[in-house]
Amino acid sequence: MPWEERGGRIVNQLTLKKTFKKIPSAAFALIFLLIIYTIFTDRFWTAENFINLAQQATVLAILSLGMTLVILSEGIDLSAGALVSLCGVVMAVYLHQGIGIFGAVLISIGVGVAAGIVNGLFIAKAKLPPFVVTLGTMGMCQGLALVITEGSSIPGFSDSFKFIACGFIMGIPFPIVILAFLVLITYLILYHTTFGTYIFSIGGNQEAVNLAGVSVAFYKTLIYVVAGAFAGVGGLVMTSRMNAAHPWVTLGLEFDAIVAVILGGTSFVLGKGNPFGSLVGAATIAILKNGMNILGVPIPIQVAFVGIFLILAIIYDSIKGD
Amino acid sequence: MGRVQMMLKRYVALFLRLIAVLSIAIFLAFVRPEFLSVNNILNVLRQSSLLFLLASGLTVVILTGGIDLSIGSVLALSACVMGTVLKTEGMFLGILVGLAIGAGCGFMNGAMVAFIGLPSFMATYGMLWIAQGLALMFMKAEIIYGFPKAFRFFGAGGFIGIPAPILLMFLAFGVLYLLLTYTTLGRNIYSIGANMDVARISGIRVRRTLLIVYTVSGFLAAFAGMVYISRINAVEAGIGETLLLPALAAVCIGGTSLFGGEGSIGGTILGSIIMSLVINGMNMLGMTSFWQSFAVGTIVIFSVLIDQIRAMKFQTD
Repeated sequence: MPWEERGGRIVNQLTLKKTFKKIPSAAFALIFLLIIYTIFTDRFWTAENFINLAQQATVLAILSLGMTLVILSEGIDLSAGALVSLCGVVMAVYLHQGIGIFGAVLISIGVGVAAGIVNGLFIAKAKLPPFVVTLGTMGMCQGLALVITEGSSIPGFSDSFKFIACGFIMGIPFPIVILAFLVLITYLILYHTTFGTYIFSIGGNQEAVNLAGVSVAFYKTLIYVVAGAFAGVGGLVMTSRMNAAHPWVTLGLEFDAIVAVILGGTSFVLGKGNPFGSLVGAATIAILKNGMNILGVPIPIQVAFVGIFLILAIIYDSIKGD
Repeated sequence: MGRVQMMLKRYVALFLRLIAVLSIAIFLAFVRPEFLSVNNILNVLRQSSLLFLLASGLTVVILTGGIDLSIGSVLALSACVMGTVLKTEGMFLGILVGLAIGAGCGFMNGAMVAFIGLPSFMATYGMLWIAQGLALMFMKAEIIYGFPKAFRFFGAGGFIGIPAPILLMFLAFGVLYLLLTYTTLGRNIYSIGANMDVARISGIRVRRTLLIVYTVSGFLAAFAGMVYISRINAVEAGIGETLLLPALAAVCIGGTSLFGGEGSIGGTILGSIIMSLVINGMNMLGMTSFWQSFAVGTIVIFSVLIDQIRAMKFQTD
């Protein structure tokens, strides 16, 4: 009896410790921010602000879903922000030629997929370091977007196109519906397909997966393709929200997405993490910026704060250990 | 593979780069005769010296198998602070504070990589945004211009007809070459890049070496910033934004392997000249600056690709 008791207590302690470790640093950051904003602002807890927040946060959340897959496989995608711009710009050109909404969706996602294939092939087939390849494609995407628009933005779309970012379905903002759909897809990919299992195992031990006879190159490329497609959806929502396609406004969005993923508890090594943590992370970043906007903090300070959040989160994760 | 063959391979690689420089130059001279004017050539060399100062620190970091993505914004931050202090407190203090800020940013990068164990691209990527944010915050979207004459020597002055930036480039090259080739620190840098575990087991103080390397990179970024703002006689927060990719491209074209342990500072000089020639050529051919980030991005990827193919061949030999 005493043994069992002691055993039971030890098990309890372990599970408590384990659950505590499972809480991503984003959760603490989020609680901290909510307390700060509740005390210091009076406009934060309003329905209007939350709808605004939902519209702002969607693109970031979508990107961080794709980024989760990439980081789980021990990669990184620095091109995501520039790719969102490129997708939006290419789509805008075709929209003005009267291609229609359905075609626009296809084109935006198509551009993202194409960029994902380029990223994936260089990273998986040629085995180049991901951060260099995606830094290169970042330059390429940014350059192309600037060349296409000649440095200015392409404004003015139909009202039905604006519905994508500003519409409501049964009182729910439409971008949230899109996000929910993509979360479902990510969940299904990660936990209910062999592809998902391979993503985790490529991050865990790529060599072992290779030895098991799985084509690592193919699945790795596929990861970047999915991330690219998500960036395409991001470009769609972004363009619709601003009612204009702008060649550089989303530069640096990949940084927010990376920070969101890291805050959400996904780590660069050993394929640990999950997409829901990333969503909490994205919400944290969005709320950080939203609240700072309300408080009137200038954008450069916001950027510096995101950087500090990132480093704190990584330090927290490394202290927490396994 | 024998020692002679290795030497031969190295010289072939060097030779190929020289041919690349010459062929771009000859092509440009044919298409645009004004390319060959003394002014334009000095201009290319001046540009490449700035690029080299920035890329040289990056080379040292890459030799250890790491990367420093923050150099562009560290340059901007230290240049902004340097410019401000210079105007109010005098030249000596301004330079000192600016260089110290660069070295400080590098030191923090090094501490994050060496002591906390973050992947270098992540730590320096965080630093990129922090430094950029701080620079914007510090400048409040203002431009500072008109520096004292003595300070302008670094960028616009010269000695017996040779522009000062080019002299500084050779100075930095000399110091780094000696450091990498003839000192224990230099050999340690190569060994860490070749195999960090082996280096640690062999008794090399890996953490301390990494800390020094990242600090040097930050310092050199600030130094490049000093020459840069001295040349353009103005500073604003955005000056570093487009500098990272060309610097990385210069290192890659220079034959320094991104996997660490292989490469040289001399290659980076050639790489910087090639990159400046390419950019100068694009300007001369009337291509807008919009094409440049596309071109530079492509160059980065393909030079790394060639490097990788060579490495794979080396393994199968």
